[in-house]
Amino acid sequence: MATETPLKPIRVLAWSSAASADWALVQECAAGSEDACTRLVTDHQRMVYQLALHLLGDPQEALDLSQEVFLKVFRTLPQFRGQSTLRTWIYRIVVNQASNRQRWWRRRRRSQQVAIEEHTAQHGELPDVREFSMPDRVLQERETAGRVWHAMDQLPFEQRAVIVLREIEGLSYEEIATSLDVAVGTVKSRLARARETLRLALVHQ
Amino acid sequence: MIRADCDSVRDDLDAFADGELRGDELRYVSQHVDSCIRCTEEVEIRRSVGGLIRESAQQWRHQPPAGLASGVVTRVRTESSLSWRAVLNRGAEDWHWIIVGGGAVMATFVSTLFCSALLLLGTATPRADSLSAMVTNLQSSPGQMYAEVSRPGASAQDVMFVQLETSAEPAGAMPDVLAREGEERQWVALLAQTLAGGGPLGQLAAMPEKERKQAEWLLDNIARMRRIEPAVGPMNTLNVYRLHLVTNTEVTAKGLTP
Repeated sequence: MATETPLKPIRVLAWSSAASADWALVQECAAGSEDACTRLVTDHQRMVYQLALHLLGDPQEALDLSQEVFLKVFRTLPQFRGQSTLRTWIYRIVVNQASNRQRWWRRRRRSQQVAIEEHTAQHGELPDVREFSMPDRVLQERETAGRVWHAMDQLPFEQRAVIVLREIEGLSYEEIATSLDVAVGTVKSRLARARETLRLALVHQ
Repeated sequence: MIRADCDSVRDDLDAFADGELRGDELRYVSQHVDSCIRCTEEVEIRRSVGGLIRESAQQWRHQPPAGLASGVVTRVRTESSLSWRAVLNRGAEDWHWIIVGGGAVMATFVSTLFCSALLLLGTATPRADSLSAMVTNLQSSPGQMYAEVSRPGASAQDVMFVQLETSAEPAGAMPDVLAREGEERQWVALLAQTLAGGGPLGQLAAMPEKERKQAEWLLDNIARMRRIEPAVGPMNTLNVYRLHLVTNTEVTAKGLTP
């Protein structure tokens, strides 16, 4: 059976010009320019916040993490040597910070987890989502998204990070490897395991 | 055409589905997938899982709250000012004892400098009856002579201070004292003659017996003369302890003013 060869998006911006723009921005920030710092945050805040949200699954946690990430970026800016793109360098910081935070978050969540029976005994039955007057398509999409998120939430952090960077952020294997500071082969194996786990989880739900 | 086995391409199916294969690897896996229904389904499953995740991500997509950039920049600015303060505080704390020690040394130096300047530049008013004035006068040119004496049989505590006549012949206790000095000077001269010719280091054991005995006798006499004992005055009237030659008549020590 014939399949279409997947198309890879081509970057319009050439590497050299992107790198030099990054480098100039970093130099300005390191020199203490507040405008440059604001520009760096504005340019990357959406990316950082989305990635944090996909890794942690909580908007408030994602916001806190985003602030931590940018503070870390500015503190360690003098160490940026331009060996990777600024974007990849920031991805790495996000993943590292999220990894540290989710360990603490999971411990805390486990200790605060309440059984569904206990919750309904205290607060009554959970509201049925169908009570809201939403179109069926929207409800179905939300339900699917909830299932996918639940399945992803069960993945080990390393696998979740790889799948988020690949499927949502659209990074290449090489960029993922740089962001996670692992070999490309490790990226491949983690991605394969994550997809297999997700497939099984979604089939059985 | 050689057909690739499913097992040999299984590990590359994810990379194939993601478009991460190049060159020979891509051709090899592509040829197999094109002709293998099972592997085609595997590739489709991988792509559909990815598509499902991307679609679901649209539901989770939240815009970052406004003010994130300004909040971060404000925190960076605050941290940066705090860090300067912290650096200064740490520096002051680390150099605490060095600063204290340096301050003490500097204070000592300044005090010494100030006192030295006072001593050098300040005008001291001379006191005629001061001890330093008396010592200065005693070391000056010849003048009147005084002697510390006591009566025979009196205690050493009852020493008197008497003025002697120096313009005329020595009187009272002086002849005996002066004679003693003259005698000692003669014995020393005799000893020098006895030892003359023996080189810079005179050795009694190496001398002839007669000269050795003479030298020993002279040494005994000189040693006896130099014992610290009060000389006996004429007619045993006074014991003389010490003589003072006062340089001029301006000595104003209490009780000595003429």
